[in-house]
Amino acid sequence: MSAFFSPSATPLGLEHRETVQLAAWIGVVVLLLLLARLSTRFSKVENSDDFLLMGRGVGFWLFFGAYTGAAIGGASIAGFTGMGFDEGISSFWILLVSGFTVPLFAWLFGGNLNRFGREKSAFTLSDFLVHRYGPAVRRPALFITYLRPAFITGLQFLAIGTLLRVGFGMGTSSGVLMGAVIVLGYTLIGGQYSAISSQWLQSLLQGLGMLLFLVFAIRLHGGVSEAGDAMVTHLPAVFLDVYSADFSWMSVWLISMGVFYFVDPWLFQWAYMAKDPRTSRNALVAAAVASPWGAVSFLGGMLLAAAVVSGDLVLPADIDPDLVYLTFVQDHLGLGGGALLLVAYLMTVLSCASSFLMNGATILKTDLLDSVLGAERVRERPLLFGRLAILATALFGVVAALWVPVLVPLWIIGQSLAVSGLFWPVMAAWFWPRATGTGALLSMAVGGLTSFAWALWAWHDQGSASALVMGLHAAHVGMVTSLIALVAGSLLTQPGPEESPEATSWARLWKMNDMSGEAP
Amino acid sequence: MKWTPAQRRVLVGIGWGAVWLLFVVFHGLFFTNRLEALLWITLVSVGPIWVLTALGGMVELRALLARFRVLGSEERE
Repeated sequence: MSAFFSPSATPLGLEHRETVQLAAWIGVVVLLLLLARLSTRFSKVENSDDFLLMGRGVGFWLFFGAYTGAAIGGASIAGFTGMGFDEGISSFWILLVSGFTVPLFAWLFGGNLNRFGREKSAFTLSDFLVHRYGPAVRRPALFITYLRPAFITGLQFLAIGTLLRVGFGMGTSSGVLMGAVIVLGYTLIGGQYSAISSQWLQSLLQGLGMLLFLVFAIRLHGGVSEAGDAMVTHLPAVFLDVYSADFSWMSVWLISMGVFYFVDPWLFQWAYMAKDPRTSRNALVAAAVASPWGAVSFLGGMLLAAAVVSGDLVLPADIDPDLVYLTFVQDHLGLGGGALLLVAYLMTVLSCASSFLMNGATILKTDLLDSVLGAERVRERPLLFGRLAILATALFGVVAALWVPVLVPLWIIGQSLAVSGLFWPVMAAWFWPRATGTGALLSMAVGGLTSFAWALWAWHDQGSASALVMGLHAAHVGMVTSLIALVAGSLLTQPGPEESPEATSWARLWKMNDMSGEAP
Repeated sequence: MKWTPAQRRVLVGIGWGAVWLLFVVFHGLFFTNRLEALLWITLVSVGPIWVLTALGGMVELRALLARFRVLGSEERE
């Protein structure tokens, strides 16, 4: 048993790597069969509420597990391990910000959004804005909200392709296609029922994998105390100082990893899906304050770095930090541990992919197909159009993964666009009755366009869309211009007949104080 | 085992107490640079969170599957 938990200091060789990959393949096939069987149980879904929002009936533990599984993607495991390995504990700040803002979002808006969703049969963030400002805001909101989940779906497909290349010896393109087929396989059958139950199962595997990874990393040093000593002895002082982070980026983190979550279309959908307002609020708060999960990869990466310096672990000298996790898992762990962690990693990426695929499909179906084809026609065959939206979003993801070589900058631009174009209109919908539809439209257009232009400038000038130009990030500029446009546009115009400040009033929804799942 | 409403309230209270205690202790250790303690608390806390997620999710998933089983048999009838 002890041998299982003892990683090898030196690589175990190509033959060992191939055996680990073969064992992982077998594990993946078994799990996929299990997921397919689970999905077929949900083939009796009946309407859009069922197919896209799991009948607005997700219980606390399924919510907690599935949300955690979806929120921790492939980048979170391999990327955060690499950050811990390369930069130390100060890199954890980026995650810490969301650990404070998501609970705040959940407490302030989780219950209210769930009540609003039941009252108005809302599916998307655009629905929220349409009920407040009228139907004119739907198209711009669709454009802003769809890009991020669609690009993230593409990124996850690409992560699956990369994982299948590095970890399973497949070609990247075949891996991307295979990833898309797997995710489509279970989401097309039961929609959100399949997605949520699969994500819960996948989150258990990914959690087990993350926990074991930390145990393996500790075992390199002997025990927990020895691991703590090794970090202090072998790592540079800046690796151990949480205050060594570059705080000139703090305002960017606060916006992109904090304020953004107040207008995250994905979080809005989670809030609508919960079985009642209480679950919507509590499960999101609980999932977000489970910070130790986020720390696992960072600490694991730091322990590997300490082991490399002390000579207890041999990794290639010029290793890409993003590949530290996979290299350690395949080349230094025994057959059982290596295969288990590889399978867990694949499940991590799949859970994230299916969650954002369902979010993109819900936006596409509700905000585009319903209005283009007519809500009545779509309502007659909700499952067909739900499935078409899933297929279209998956196709977008595959095309993006295979032929768009700049997915990360596009994702960053999508996030800047969302926070710049949506934050003030959404906040005004909650709290400012004087805001008008024209003001909201102006705010979305001006904020979105200025942040888009600024991100392109940063990309051209500094080589990264998230870089600062003249000390400012695209989201800084977009949020300021968006606020000015909203206030000016609202004070200079009168509300139209289809606008309803009451519909999204935070105070009205909060006062309902109804925590049951009954429609208000 | 069937919990009474009072027992459920106590259990939920204990659960939230544990969650917020973990939140405060974890961040307290982070902000005071105590890495070895951070390692301990991470290692000790993720296991119980995992077990609760597995057990709670299993109960809810079983209820969901039972609902669909009933739906399927009604359709056959």
